[in-house]
Amino acid sequence: MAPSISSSPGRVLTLSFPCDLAAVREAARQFRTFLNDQGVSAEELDAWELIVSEAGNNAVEYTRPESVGLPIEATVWVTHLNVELQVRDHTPGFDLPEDTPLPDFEAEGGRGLFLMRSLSDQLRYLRSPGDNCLIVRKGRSGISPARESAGDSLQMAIMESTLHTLTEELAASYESLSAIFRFTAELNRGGAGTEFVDRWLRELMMVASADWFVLRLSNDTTTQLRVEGISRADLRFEPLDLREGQRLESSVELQAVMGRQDMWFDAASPTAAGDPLTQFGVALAGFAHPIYVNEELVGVLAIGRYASHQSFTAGQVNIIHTFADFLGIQIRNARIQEGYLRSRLVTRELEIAASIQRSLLPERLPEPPGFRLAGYSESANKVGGDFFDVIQIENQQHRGLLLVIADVMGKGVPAAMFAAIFRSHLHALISLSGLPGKLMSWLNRALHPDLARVDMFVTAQIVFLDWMDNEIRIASAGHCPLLIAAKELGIMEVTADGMPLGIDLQMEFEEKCLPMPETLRLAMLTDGLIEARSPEGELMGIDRVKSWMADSIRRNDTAQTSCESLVELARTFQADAPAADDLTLLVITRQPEVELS
Amino acid sequence: MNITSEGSTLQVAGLAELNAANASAFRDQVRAAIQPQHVNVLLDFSQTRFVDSSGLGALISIHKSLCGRGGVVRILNPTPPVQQILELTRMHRIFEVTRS
Repeated sequence: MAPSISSSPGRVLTLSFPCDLAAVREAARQFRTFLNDQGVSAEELDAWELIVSEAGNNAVEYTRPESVGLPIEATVWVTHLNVELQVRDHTPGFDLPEDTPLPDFEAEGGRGLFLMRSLSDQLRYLRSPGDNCLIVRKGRSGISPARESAGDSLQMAIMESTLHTLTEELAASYESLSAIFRFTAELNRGGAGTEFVDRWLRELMMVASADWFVLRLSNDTTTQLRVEGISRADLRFEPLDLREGQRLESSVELQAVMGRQDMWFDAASPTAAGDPLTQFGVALAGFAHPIYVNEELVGVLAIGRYASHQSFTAGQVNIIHTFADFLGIQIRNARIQEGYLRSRLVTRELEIAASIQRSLLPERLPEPPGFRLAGYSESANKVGGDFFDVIQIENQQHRGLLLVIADVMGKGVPAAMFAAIFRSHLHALISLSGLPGKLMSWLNRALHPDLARVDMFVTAQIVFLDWMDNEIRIASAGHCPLLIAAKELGIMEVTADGMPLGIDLQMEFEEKCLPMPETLRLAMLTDGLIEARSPEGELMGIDRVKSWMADSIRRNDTAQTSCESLVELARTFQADAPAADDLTLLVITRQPEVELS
Repeated sequence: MNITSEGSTLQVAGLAELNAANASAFRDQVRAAIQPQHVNVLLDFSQTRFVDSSGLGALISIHKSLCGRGGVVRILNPTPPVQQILELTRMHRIFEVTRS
C-alpha cells in the first residue's frame, strides 16, 4: 500500500505508511526523491535512504502486537544547514545507549542503530506512553547547484560516484600491476632476498597508504615465525613460537596463522597488551594476513596505520592481499630453488666421497707365487664404511702377505672418512704387519681419540700369511669370523678375541696362529654378507656361506670365480630387497703345486 | 535474481536490493541452492544499489554456512553505496570484495 503524503512546499515531507517492511522501503525511496528535489548531495541521499530504512524497519519489527494496524508516521525537514528525520513508532520503546559499538562479525543483527549513528550527527529517542519518536539529524555537506529531474539526477549521481570509485581502484590496480612487473624483472636477477622483500613491502606501504609493516617467515621446520622485513629498524621483534603452549591471545599474527584468516585490529578491537605489534603504538588500525602457498605456511604480514580510526578500504585490502600473496609465491619458489641446489650439492659431495672411497681400495691385488686373490666391495649407500687392503711384505723381519678388512660403524661420508683415516694409520704402521695382534693394538691407540670423540667404532680383521714361518696369524677387533678351508682342517670359522677399535684405548689384541696348509681357501667377510636378509626377512647366516665355500672347493673355483659366486649368492638371496649394509669380501686361494721360495 | 552453479562456486546475480523486506527470502533461497560441491558463493552486486543491515545479516548467515567448508563469500563489483556500507560495518574484512 502506498504511503499517504502531506508536505509543505519544498521543506517538509510527512509520510504515513502501514506497519510493513515493504512500505518502509517505498517510503525511503520517496524521501530520497524529496531530498534530491531539495538539492541534497548524492552521497547524503544514499545515507538518508539507509537511515530512513533502518529507522522504519525498527518501527515495524518491534511494534506492539496490538498496534500492528496503526500507521507509522515519518517526517523529514530540510533546512539550509540540516536534514532532520522523525519517525513515530508504536513499540514498547528502548533505552538509547550512549555508545553504539559495531557488533561481532558473527552477529546477524544489531547493525541498524550502528549505521544510523555512523551516518548522522545526532540521534535521539523520545519515549512516551502512546508512541515514541526517533529523531535523526545530519548537517548538509553541500547543496547541488543543478536541479535536474529526480530520475536523471539519481542516475547521474550514481554514475559519478561509480566512476570515482572505479578510477581510484583502477589507479590502485595499476600501481599493483606496475610494481609486480618491475619487481619480477628484478627477481630474475637476484631472487627473493631480504633486500627485495624490504623494497617490495615499502612499495606496498606507499600504494596502500600504510604507516608500518612487519613480515615474518616460517622457518624450515615450521616451528617459528621470524621477522624478515620491518618498516622500522629501531624495533626488535622476538620470533613467535608456532608449537603448542604459545598464548594465542597475545599475538594477532599467531591468531591469523592458526586461524588461516585475516585478523583485524583497530580502536574497537585493539591489540592485546602483550602483543609484539604494540611496539608500533597502542592505537593502531590494520590487520595480520597469513601467507599460505599450496597449503604450506610461508609467513604472516602485519600492516597498519598509527591512527586507530583509519581502517583500510576494500580496495586497499585487495592490494595488500595481492602484494602479500605474490611475495609468498616468490619466497616459496626461492626456497624450492635453494633446496634443489642444496640437494645437488649433497649429491656432488657424495660423489666426491664415493670416489675417495674407491681410491682407498687397492688398484691391483698382488699375485705372489702360488696365491690368487680377489676382492669385492659394494656400498649400500653411495658411500660406505667398508674397506679392505692387501699388501705384500718383503723386508728383513717379515715376508708374506698382509690382508686387512674393516667395517666402520655407520654409512655415508663420516664412515668413508674413518675408512680413509684407518688406511693412513695402517700404512704408517706397516713395520708391524708381521704381528697382527700388535698392529691391531697400535691401530686402536691411533684411532681411539678420533672415534671416541664422535662415538663411532670400527671392526677389523688382520691376517698375515707368513711364508717365512709358514704360518697364518690372525687378529680381530670385534669383526665377524673368517672362513678357512684346508684339506687337513675342512671348513672352519676362525676368529680372535678383541673389541672393536675405538672402545678401549688400552686394549691388547690377541693373535691367533695356524700352520699354513698346503691347500688353502680363505674368505674374509664383513657383516653385510652374513647379516644380509631375504625379502621375507630371513637371515643369510654363516652356514650358507660355508655351503658356498664347500661348493666352491668342489668346483675348484679360482679366487676370482669364487668371489663372484659369493656376490651372486648374496644378490640372489636378497632378491629385490634393498641392501641394508655394505658388502665387502676378500677371497684367497693357495695352489699346492707351487713351491714357495 | 539468478542463481547458477559453476563447479565449486554458486553464483548469484541480478539482485536489485537486499533489504529487510527480501533479506530472509534471499538468505533461504541461496542456502537452499548450496549443494555439497559448493565451497564458495559469488555474489554479483553490480546491479544491487541498496543493502541495509538486514541484508548484511543475510550475507553473514550465508558466510557462516560456508565456514565449515573452508569457503568464502565473494562480492563482485559492488555499487558505491553498497561498498560504503560494507566498509562502514567492516564486512569487507570477512567477505572478499573484488572487481572484474
